[in-house]
Amino acid sequence: MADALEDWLRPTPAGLWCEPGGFHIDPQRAVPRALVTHGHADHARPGHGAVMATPETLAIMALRYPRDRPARQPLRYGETVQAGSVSVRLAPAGHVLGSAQAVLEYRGRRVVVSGDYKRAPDPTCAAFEPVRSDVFITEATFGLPVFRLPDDLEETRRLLRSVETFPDRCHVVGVYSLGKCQRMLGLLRRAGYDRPVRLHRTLNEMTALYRRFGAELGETRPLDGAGDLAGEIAMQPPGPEQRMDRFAEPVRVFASGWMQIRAHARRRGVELPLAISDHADWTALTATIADTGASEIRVTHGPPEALIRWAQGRGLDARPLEPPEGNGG
Amino acid sequence: MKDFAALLDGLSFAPSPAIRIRLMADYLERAPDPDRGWALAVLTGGLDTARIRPAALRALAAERVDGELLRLSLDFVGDPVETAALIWPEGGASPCPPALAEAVPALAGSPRQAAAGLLAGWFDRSDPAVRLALGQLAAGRRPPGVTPRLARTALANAFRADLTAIEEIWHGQAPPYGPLFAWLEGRAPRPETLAGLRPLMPVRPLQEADAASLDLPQYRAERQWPGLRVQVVAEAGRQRLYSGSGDDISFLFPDIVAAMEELKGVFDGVLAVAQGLDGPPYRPAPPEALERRLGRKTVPRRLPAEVPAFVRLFDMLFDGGEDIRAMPFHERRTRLEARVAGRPRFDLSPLLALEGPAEPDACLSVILKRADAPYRPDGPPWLLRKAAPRTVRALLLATRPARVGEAGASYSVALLRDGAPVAVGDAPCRLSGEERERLGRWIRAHTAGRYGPVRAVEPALVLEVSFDEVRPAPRRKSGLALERPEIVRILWDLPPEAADSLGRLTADEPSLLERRNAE
Repeated sequence: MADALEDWLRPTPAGLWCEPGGFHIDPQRAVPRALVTHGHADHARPGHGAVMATPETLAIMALRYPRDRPARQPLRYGETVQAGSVSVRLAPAGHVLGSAQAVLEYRGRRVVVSGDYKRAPDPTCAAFEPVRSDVFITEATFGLPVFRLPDDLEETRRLLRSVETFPDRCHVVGVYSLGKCQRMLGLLRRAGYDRPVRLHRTLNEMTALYRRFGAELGETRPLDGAGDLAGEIAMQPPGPEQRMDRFAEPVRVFASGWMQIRAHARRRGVELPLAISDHADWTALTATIADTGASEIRVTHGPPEALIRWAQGRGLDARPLEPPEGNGG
Repeated sequence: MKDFAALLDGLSFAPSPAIRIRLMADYLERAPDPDRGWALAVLTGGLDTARIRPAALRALAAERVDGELLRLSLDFVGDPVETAALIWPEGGASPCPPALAEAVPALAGSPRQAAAGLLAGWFDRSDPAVRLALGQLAAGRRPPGVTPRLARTALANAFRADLTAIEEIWHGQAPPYGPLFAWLEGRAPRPETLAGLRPLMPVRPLQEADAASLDLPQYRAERQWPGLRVQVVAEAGRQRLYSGSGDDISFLFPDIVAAMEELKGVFDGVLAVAQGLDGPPYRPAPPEALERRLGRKTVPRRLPAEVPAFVRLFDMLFDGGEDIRAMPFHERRTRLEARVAGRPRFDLSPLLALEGPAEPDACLSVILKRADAPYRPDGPPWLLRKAAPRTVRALLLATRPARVGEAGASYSVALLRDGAPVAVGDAPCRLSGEERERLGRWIRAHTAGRYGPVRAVEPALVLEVSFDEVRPAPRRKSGLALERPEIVRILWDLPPEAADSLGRLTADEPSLLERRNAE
C-alpha cells in the first residue's frame, strides 16, 4: 500500500512542503530550501537559503531580486536530481520563460505539481509536456467552463484591425512584465506586424533577458519621450497609476484571460479586451487532467469547485488542496 | 455574422459617440449586401428582434451542460446571455454561423415560442463571439449608446453622404435598404419617400458679439418652449410625427396623429403635455410629464387620455401641398395662423413684443428669427437668447463622485426653510483647481456621514449657485428644483444663516408655469 499523499506532500502556511525531500514548492515565505516552478512574484519569493529551479527561472529571480543570494541549484528540463529520498525532475509548463512542472517520485508514487501552465503554443517558452502521474496537483485560475479562450493569433489580429480602424490613435496594451509582454510581442510578429513596438521602461530588462535566452521579439523602442505615439502600439504594465494622457486618444487594450468576461473588461475601463492568457483555460485543464492519467487530482490556485465536479464526474478522486496555499503566510 | 458580432462587441466597449460612429461606419463600408442592411436595421432600432428572455436562454443552456457547472458559471459571469454564449458546448466541426441576413429577419419573423429552437440551432454552428451577438439580438438588447441618429450619422460617414439628405427619405425605406445603398453608392437615383422628414431650422445660442450688432427691429421673438422639437407632416393622405433627432414617433402619439387628419401641410413646433384639453391654447404641464409618453415600445390604451399631448406650432414649411419655405418668416407666420386657428391639439407660439434693447425679459429664454428670412436650414440659424442665469446662496449638503460620462463630482445644495436646509438640486462645480482642492479639504474635515459613494457634510458652507430656471418638483421635499445649477463661488466667510430661504425662490419666481399661463 502506497503512502497517502498527505504523508509526504502537504500544504503548510509557508507553502507546499515535501517532508522526505526537505524542500518547499513555491513557498510564500523564506525557507531553507525551495523548489520554484517559475519567476512570477506569487511563486518566486526572495530570502530562501537554497533555490532549485530552471536556469531561466534562476536568471529571472536574479533580475528581480538583485540583492538576494540563495544557493542556486539550476535544474534543466528533464534532468533528475535526488533531494533527500525524493527524486525531482522539472518538465516544461508552457506558462512563461523557464516555467516548469515539478515531477516528484517517492516510494514508487509519482506526483506532478503543475505550477502555472498553459497548452496554447507560445514561441517565447518551451511547450507544456504532459507527464503521466499518480497524483496531479493542478492550478485552476480559469477553472470554470466559461473560460474557453479563443485562438491567441485571432485575438492579436483584432488588435491589428483596431490599429487599422483608428490610425490616428495610440493602442496602449496593458501587459505584465514577465511573460505577457514578450508573448504579445511574439504574437504581433507572428501576425505580421513588423513595426517597432514602444515599451514602458519597466518592461525593458525582462524583455532583454528573454532575448538573451533566444526569443525573437522584433524591434522595440522606449516609450518615454517619444511623443503621443499616434498610430503606434505601446505596452505598459496595467494599473491606474500609469499615465494615459501622454498618448494620442489612447485605445486601452488589455491582454488577459479575464477579458473573456465582459464585466471584468468593463470594470477595468478597457476599450479593446483581448482574451489572451498564459494560464490553461477550461479545455486545457480538463484535457491535461486526462493526459496525466492521474487518478487523484488536487486543485489549487483558483476556484476548485467546477473542476472537482468535472473530475468526480469521471470517477477521479478530486479535492481541493487544503488549506489554501499562502493562508496566513 | 462574425463581423457584426465584432462590431457589437466593439460598440459595447467604445468610450465615446465619435468612436461608435467610426466603428459602425467602418462596418457599413465593408459589409456586403444584404448583411449591411439588416445590420443598419438593428443599429437604428427599426427592427424588433426581442424574442426571448435572458432566463429562457439560461434554461436553454441547462439542456446542454451540467446544471452545477452552469450555476457556478452564472454566479461568476452574472449575465445569463453571456454565460449561455460562453458555456455552450462546441460543435465538432469548424463553426459555420448563420449569415446576419439569415438570422435577423428569421428572428424578427419568428413567433416567441419558436425562437429558442432557432437560437439553439444557430448556437450549435457558432463560436462564442457569434453566440453572444445572437443571444443579445434575441434578448432585444441594443448596443449601449447607439441612438438611431448616431447609426444614421455613421451611414452618412461611411458613404460620405449628407445626413440630412438621408434623413429626409429614411422613414420611407425598409430593411435591408437595397435602394438606399444603391443611391449612396451612386448606382441609382435617390429613392422617394412620401410624407418624409424635411430638414429643420437649426437654433444657435446668441453670442455676446452678435447681440451688439443685432438689428432688432428686423427680428421676431418667441419664448423657447420646453418640450420636444417635432416636425408635423400631414400630406398625401399620410400623417407623420418626427422628432427633431429624425425619428418617426407617430406611433407614440396616436392622439396627435388623429388630430392631424384635418391638417394639411408640414409644420415645425414643440410637443408637450397639456394640463387638460380645454384649448387651444393649451396649458403645458411640467416638462417631466412628457417622459411618460416617450421611450416606449407600445402605448397603453389609457395613456393618451391620462397624459394628453399637444403641439405648439411656430412655423410652417408646406401650406397644403405648397412649398412655402422660400417665403419670408412673417408671411409663413400669417399663413400658419390662418391654417391652424382653432384646430384641437395644436396652438400657436405667441410672438413677443420686442421693445428697445434686446432684453424683452431677462428671465425668459427667447428665440429670435429674422422676419424676412426664408426657412433655409443651411442659411443663418435661429438665435437663442438664454435667460440671464440667476444665483442663490445655498448650503452644501453632500457630494458624490463623478459618474461615467460626467466631468466632475456633483454637489447637493440646499436652501433654508424655517431655518432647516432642504435640497434643491445637484450642482457641478466650475471653480479653479485651487479652490476646488480647498473645497475638497473642507469636505473631508466636515464629513458627517457616508452612504456608499455619497458623502454628507455638515450644512455649514455657503455657496453661490447659478441656475437657469426654477421648476416645480413634487417629489422633492422642497417641492421645486433648480434647472442647470452650477457652483460659481464659495462664500467661505459667511455663516450658514446667510443662506437664502426657499421663500426667496418662490417669491421672485411666481413659478414659470404661472408665468406661462399668464401669456
